[in-house]
Amino acid sequence: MVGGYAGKILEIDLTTRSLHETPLDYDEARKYLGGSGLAAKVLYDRVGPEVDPLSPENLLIFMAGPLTGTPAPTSGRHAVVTKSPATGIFAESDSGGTWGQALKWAGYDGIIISGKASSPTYLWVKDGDVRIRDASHLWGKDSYETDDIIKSSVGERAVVACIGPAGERLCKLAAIMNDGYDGRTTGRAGVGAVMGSKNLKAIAVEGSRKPSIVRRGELLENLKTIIPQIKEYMVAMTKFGTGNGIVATEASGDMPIKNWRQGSFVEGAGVTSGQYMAEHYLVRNYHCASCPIGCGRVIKVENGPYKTAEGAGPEYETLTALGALCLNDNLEVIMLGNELCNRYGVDTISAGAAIAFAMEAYEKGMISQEDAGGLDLRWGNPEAIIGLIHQIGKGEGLGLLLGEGVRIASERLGGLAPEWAIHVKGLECAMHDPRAYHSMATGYATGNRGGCHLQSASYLWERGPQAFKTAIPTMPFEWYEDRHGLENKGKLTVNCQNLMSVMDSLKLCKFVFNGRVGIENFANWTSCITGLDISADELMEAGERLYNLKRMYNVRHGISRKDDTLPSRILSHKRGTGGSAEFLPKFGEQLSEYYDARGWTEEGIPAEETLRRLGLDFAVKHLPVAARI
Amino acid sequence: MQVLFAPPYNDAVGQRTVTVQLSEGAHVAGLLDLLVEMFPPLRQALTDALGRLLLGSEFFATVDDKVAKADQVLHEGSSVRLFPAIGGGARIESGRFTA
Repeated sequence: MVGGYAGKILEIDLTTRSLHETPLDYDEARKYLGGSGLAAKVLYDRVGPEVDPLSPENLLIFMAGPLTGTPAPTSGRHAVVTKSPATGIFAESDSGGTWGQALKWAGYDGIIISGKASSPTYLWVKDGDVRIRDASHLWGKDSYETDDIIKSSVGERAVVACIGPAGERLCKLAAIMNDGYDGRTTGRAGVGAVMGSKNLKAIAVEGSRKPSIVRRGELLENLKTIIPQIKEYMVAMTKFGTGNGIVATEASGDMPIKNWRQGSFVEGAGVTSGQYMAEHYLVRNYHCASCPIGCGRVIKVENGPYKTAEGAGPEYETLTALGALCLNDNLEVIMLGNELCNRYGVDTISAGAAIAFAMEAYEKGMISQEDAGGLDLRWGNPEAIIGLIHQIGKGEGLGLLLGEGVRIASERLGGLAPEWAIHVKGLECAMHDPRAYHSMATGYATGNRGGCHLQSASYLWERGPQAFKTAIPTMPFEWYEDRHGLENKGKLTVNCQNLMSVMDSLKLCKFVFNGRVGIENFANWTSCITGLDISADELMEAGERLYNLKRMYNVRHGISRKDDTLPSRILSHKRGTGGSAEFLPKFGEQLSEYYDARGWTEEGIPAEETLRRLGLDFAVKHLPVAARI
Repeated sequence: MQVLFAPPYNDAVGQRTVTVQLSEGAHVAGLLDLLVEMFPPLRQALTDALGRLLLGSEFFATVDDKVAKADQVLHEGSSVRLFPAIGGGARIESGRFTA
């Protein structure tokens, strides 16, 4: 018996309204673990380069991990995997909350959605019973309203994942929201648009089938020490959320400011920080399932022009994307902007990036006030930020263009606009700067979904080197001791990406590293829960396998070294002031080191021997002719 | 009053809690200066190269479980807690603080 897994995957064809259950292949599960790893294998096998991301032939895959739905700390997560309409390549997005746990307790490790419903539809899954229901009364409703309406029909214990109006309109910034007013999000890469393209409004899940835990006593004994340790180390995140480090982040030069042009934002950081939010607006903490940290915020703005409902407050990425990136120092604007993005179902990182892009285009005379529907897009203008979020969410005016993402928006504007479209492979970069943490240069450039900070998250090591010694104990300290160092950063990125692939597949939250836990703990928890004796080395090898699998998916779509790059603003413009004023990463050399450490060719293609070593023999036939050795 | 050190500061101090005597009307900043004098390894964690306290940036203090600013007055019986920032992380100058 293998614990942790539900042992079944649900497959639904919305075109034919047919569904069936597939037994989980445990050999595949051992190789690809679960979460985005297992889902990536499904996508690789079934969605080739010829498939349009918004066509019925694309798959939308929701997948929990083997630890989801168990007491393993921070395991309350699920993945969404598909081909991205924003980038045209591999997309994975990750969310916390309780939906992943509810999916597992409903009896499934994952749901694979194919086809397209003939009319708006939602799914209701309870303890193995699956219903395909009419959603015409939900179409057009925002995500909070959708959650309320569905739960009034199926019961308050249901947990809902849904799209808002942005996903319905196939906006490329569209997210899939879950857990209603608690605003958990699979935000990146336009996964919400794929859901909208299938006329699928929501998936509601509920269940009582907790997965078995093979060595429960051993696990719980271990957690008696680990959980208090995590809580002790992470007091700041519990009290002030992920925004607790905003002031330090600005001071270190890591915070992108004014569309990545400016080096300092001292006063602004102080009044848009997690501690400022806790002092003035916090109602209570929010905990994802099985999480002892509780970094989530529940906030309320009671009065004034930026009033909000009581609900999810902004995290670090949102605080910066709608704050410093747009030169906005009004926290209430950020909180309302966050709520609007949640309701419309829009990725806050990409929304902030798109707004900052528009502000720069306005400054440079490429967009007029008339183009913006009367909005004055001067830097930091609250009405511009709120107004553009409405436009993006509704698909109106300038929002229609910005909702295509900054890559396409800049191409359509023309001229020098691509110079200030800050993205990698079509995904807007997240709110950490490679000029402050040099390994993020290859981290962003080689991220399998584009400009993502979490595919490597190597800045975590460079930011708190002493704290992260336990994460990968065998990784040399000198690789990450100096965040502005010029050596070994490619190798650091490789190792961090492999570990993050493990996290994305087991479905653990990456903040847990701050609690001084690492790969040895994850191997222990996985072994106790599944009953399979999995070592730390085996997990890291699985992580390497998964990273290469996702890369090969992208290679099949034409990705190579020419695409592994950074915007010139990050590559060659210094910040000028603040904590990283004069630093630039040595990108070219770092990338070559990265490819070498990966066992890839100089063109960024996994070598045949690398694929075979990792058990990815089936992918060899997809190597470009010039790469086959 | 009692001062509670969250990890990793407890490692630097060698204990989880200490009791200190301060004159009535002392401020949080004064307490922090005293702690840095009492426990020199804390200096790297709590101050920058110029000796300025990094309160609200690299670390936080609560008094009776409420966020404290440097100029907040302390009273006998107050319970103070020190803990590091996580989101912005550990030291700006990597590696200087040994946990």
